[in-house]
Amino acid sequence: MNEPPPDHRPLGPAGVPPAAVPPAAGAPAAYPPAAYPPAAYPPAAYPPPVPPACQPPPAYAPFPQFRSPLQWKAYVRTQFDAGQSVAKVLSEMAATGVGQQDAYRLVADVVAAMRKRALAFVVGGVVAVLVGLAVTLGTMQAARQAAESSGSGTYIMWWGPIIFGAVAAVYGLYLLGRVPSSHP
Amino acid sequence: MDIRGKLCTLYPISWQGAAVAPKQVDFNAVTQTFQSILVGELGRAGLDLRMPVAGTPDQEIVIHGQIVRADPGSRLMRWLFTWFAGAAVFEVEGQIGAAAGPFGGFNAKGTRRAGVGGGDSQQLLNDAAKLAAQESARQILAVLAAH
Repeated sequence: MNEPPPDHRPLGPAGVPPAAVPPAAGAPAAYPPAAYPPAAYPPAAYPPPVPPACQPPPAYAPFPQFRSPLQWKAYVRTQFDAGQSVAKVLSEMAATGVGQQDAYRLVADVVAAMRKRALAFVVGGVVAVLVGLAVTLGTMQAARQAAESSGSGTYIMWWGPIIFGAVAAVYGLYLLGRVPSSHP
Repeated sequence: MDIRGKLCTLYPISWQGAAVAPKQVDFNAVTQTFQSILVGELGRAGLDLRMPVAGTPDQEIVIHGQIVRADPGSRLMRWLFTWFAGAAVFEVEGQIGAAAGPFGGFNAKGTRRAGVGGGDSQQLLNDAAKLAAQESARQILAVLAAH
């Protein structure tokens, strides 16, 4: 194996190249050698090929993902609650390295959860109103019959479920209106 | 696994990536509440908890945790729809492992909805963090017992 020429020798500990050794008196100049650079140096395959595993990432590699899926769901929910669009949230996820398929699935999950919650408000509110009305009207009917037969009757005015149920249903409709489409 | 007396590195709960509602709340106090309750519960179960020290290897058991969501909610919404909206929520997740790698995880959520006149958001979030810490400790101990 050929030694590299002196200029290619590694630096000394202090970063200073080793001092050149002067040729002996009367001797022919051994440096540089006649055949310089040597035919075998540098080797033909120089620089050596980099194994695939060690290749640097391409310049367009995304930033590393810094949120867990649970954190992404919570974050996306917060963004939608704040009125952000699906397109903006998706582009932000893409910029942080979330795959497109994962991003769409995550957004669809969040949107479905938001829609389910809003519908629960609407349905629960309507049911509460209906129950309140049924109890109120039913007892009023019974009181009316009792008043016809005995001269007096009592009924229950169950206004709580009627009022709060109506408010909950309206709030549910408001939430339903704020649920974004799962696609931009 | 018998965990009594086992050395355990408990990393401070991390806020990285957490979804935090932009509200006027002292989140440091919430973190301290969570951490202190978690340390108390795990210590009571017999784990010998240690803080991580830079440059030294972790102990036999390692617990990492991160906050998923910290939302103090809305006092007005709690007052209007106590059981439906405006809740204070504190959610965490984390991993339990050894030096070789994690062998289990936990995910706990604390929710507080009720208080006088809707309740103080800071107090409710602290209480939610307390609940989350107790649930986290329960899950961590279950994972360690099963390992």
